[in-house]
Amino acid sequence: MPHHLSLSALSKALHSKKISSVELCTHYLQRIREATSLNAFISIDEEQAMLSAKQADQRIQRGLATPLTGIPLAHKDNICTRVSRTTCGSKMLANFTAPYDATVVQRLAAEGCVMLGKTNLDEFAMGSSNETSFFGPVSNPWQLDSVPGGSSGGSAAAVAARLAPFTTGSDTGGSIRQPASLCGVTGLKPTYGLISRYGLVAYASSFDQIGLIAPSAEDIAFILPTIAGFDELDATSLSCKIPNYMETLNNPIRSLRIGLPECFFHPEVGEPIQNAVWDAISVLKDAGATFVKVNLEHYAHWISCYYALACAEASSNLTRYDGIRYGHRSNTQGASLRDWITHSRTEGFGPEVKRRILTGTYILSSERFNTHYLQAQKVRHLISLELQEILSYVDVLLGPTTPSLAFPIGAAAANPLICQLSDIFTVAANLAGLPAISVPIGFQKELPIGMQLMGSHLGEATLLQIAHAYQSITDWHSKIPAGYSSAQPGAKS
Amino acid sequence: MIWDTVIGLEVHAQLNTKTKLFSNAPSLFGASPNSQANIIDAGFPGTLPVFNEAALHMALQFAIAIQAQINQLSYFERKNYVYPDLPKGYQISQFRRPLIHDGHITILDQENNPLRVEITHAHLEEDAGKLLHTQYETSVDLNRAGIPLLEIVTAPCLRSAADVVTYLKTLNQLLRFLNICDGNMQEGSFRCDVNLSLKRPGSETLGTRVELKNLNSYRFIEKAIGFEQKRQASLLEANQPVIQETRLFHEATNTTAAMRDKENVNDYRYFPDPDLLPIFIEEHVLQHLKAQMPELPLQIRERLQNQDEITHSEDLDYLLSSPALIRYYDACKQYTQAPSKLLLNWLKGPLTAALKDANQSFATLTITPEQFGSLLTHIENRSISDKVGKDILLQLFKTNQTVETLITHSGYQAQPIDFKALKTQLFAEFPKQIAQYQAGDQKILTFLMGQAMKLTHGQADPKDLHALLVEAFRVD
Amino acid sequence: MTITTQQFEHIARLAYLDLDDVANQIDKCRATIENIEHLQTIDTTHVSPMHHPTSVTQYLRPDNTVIFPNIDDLAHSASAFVDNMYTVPLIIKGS
Repeated sequence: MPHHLSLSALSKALHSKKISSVELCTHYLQRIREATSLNAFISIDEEQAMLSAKQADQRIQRGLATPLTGIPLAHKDNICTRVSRTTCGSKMLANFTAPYDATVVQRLAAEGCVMLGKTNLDEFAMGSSNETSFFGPVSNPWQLDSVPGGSSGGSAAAVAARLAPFTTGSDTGGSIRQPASLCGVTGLKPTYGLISRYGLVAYASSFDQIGLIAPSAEDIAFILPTIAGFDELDATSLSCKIPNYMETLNNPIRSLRIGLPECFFHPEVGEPIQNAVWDAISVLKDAGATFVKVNLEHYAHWISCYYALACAEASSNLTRYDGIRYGHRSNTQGASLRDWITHSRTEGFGPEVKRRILTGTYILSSERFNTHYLQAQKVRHLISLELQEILSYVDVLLGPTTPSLAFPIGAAAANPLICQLSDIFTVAANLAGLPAISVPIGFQKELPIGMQLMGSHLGEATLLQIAHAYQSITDWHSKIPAGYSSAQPGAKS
Repeated sequence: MIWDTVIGLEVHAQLNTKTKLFSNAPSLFGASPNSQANIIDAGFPGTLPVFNEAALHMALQFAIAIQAQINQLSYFERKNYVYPDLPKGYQISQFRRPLIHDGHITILDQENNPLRVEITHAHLEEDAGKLLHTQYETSVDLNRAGIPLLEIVTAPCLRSAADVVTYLKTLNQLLRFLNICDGNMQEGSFRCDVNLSLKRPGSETLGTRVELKNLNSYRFIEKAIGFEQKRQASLLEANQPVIQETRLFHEATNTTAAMRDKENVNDYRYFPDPDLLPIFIEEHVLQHLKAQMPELPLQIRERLQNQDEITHSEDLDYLLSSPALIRYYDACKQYTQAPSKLLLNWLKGPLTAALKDANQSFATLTITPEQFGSLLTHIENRSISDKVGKDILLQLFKTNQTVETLITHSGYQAQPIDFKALKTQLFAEFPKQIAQYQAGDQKILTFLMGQAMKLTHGQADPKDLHALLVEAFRVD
Repeated sequence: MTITTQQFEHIARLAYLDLDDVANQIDKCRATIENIEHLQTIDTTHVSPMHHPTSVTQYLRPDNTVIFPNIDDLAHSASAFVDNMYTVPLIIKGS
């Protein structure tokens, strides 16, 4: 079955014409149709997808194909595409079609990738459970009444259920890694600036990064060079040489030093998770890596610091939604312009988004600028310096991606702390702008467990190398939930 | 009671870059609505700002010209507020760490004493769009949104409307000569807000200041200041407080009035823009810009005085009224033997008049400096008369031919006057009038001049002819 | 010392969100803000703020047109676009 193949195998099959892009596209569209109960997709444009697939096949026929030509994918619905709407999971943009493609979308389309549709997400990427979407929650394919994580819940669920070979996501405080972990798939947030943000609807500009979700690290290594690299339309993107991540994937991890922060193993982290991580550590130890205990003094401040700054930036980034040039426009005529705009915004945004806007506005208010905003920026600097210092003598930091497993849909409404705590290990990478990857390492009663590796600046190659070494020895990443595996002889379930 | 007026000024100058400050849409004036705005200017979701290098270089050259300090590291901040002409819901500006600070421009005050106007800081920011109000709705045109502005702020060191206007004119001229701004108040590329307060003479304590806006000409600025001085003085003398507020100038009544429905003081929540990285000024870039500086009005003024001996301030002001004019003047000097004074007079007089008729300006005129210079040489050498010169000037608008060609073909070449014959003819035809002149009637000379000119078919140079006649009619 | 109801009202106005609608959010916001205020206990003397998670400085764009204005793009998603301009269907007083 195509959805059991790695991306590089899929690419070979396409190029050797063992399978056509049209067949592949048909296959995945069928799977998507059968999996509507997951609610992983907001938009699916079958006609356009088939058209792109046909064009990809023609390109392959003419010998003009590149390694990614013909491979289907799905984009998170906060990444602008000309085709299909870009809703950001919000009523505010429920009918919005972007007049342009994000740079990442363009780069993949230029290679001949085929977009199947746009995936569901927490509203404006704010959330850790994909329950705040205007288009309804997403189910975790491993346990349908559990959350897939968020905000890239749709993207992670789609990969877990093999509805697309890979998806794009965005990560501001863990929004790729956490859902990847809860869904048993691999998810990478790159170094800040490695991938252009042009076309990614902004949540928190100095934290946001587009990233990739796929079954394996090898799959991610296959795609990453295509979307990474300087973009003149994003002043924060990095001018750096993009390595061929596939080439270094199989480098032995013998010489690598892996740091184990003590705070990642505190008692609040569920026991099954801790056990799975220690098992993973054994695997890597046997493969030759050495481990060093490290101490992260500022760990306790990560979450507060993240919320202060992310909410502050979000409050400013979302001011543009006033209904005048795009977006929801209220039908209620107010007494004044202020009333009318207030109605549009109040009607268009969900409660979580409003909370973050209010919090952020408070943080930035002039009386609190120094004590709240500036102080948080200084703490950010401390956190960043500490991580960089430690990463100067270890190659990566390792720990669980989340302190707990996928929780039931609706649980967070009763206990909002669940969502906040879910990001407790992931936010650091966004605060410091460092790359981090989540890798599936086991299960606890059907629910996946993930480990996170955090690397130094532009250290994606090392992260992928370690993840690949682990995935060459274990097979957690190739597990597919029952009901989505389409069992065949030899197929895993 | 006597009050000291204390004025500080904020000027917003639109920089004439080809594209906008943070997007690559063109920044032209007067285009049809929304034809010069792209999705970045309109703040579409997912779009990002990228800083225009040319705008930075223009700002730096301004800093060099006013001998200001340049912050080697500065950054952009977001000024957050909601208004339909502000697509992103924030204006990208600078606040805590502007690019430029502590410069100055020296002007001459009313007593012709030098007055040093301190420019506390200058920074870059983007312009907003335009709103058009009808009775039932408001329309938004985003052409202007994103155009680069250089905001130039003075210390409260000006004392009168006259000084304000002098400073503004000097600043305006500097910006035009730096070639970074058109300086057109009517079109909105040079806008000024006035901050005015009154204080007791000799007192160090400044009064409450009021901001005056909607001042679209120097005249309006003078009137607004005059009105505001009186208004504040009346309040203070009646022991009423002056309220800190923004007031708009109304030209129909020459008064200022507080803005209606003004929101409670807006909290702009300035914070560093995360989409734009800190601006770092490299030393070699600065040196390069210094070397590229155009000649500035003060330097030009000095050389006109010292090298060209043009000393009348009216003449100097005239030559410095536009960069295109002084450029033309300089170019013509290369091609003529005529003295600067003659060049100046002909530029100011005949050429300016001719340009008006031909609907051209010094920036667009079709007469080359070679042609004009050559014309002046001929006038200087008296090979043609002034009148002939003016005729040829008009022809030069329509032809590339050289002045020599025109002179020869049109038969303009001044024939040497056969003065003996002329004298004989005059004595023969007008003996009575000559006798009158010799008897002391000066006025009759004009008549005799006219007749002599007729007899020479207008060829004679009036000055020469006058001298010759006086000599000829002299009674020894 | 955290957010009072009066401050919350002011914040809602700044954010252009309806106060009645967000009134029940104040407690949740307060909880988040209180956590954030704990950051004030950290000693940050001699620490400079980190505005960007990168040490790179400003990229300067050449002054050339790249994304050409296209009025169709601007009109694309607008609810009201008349005579090539966005319209706001209310009278604006004052300025």
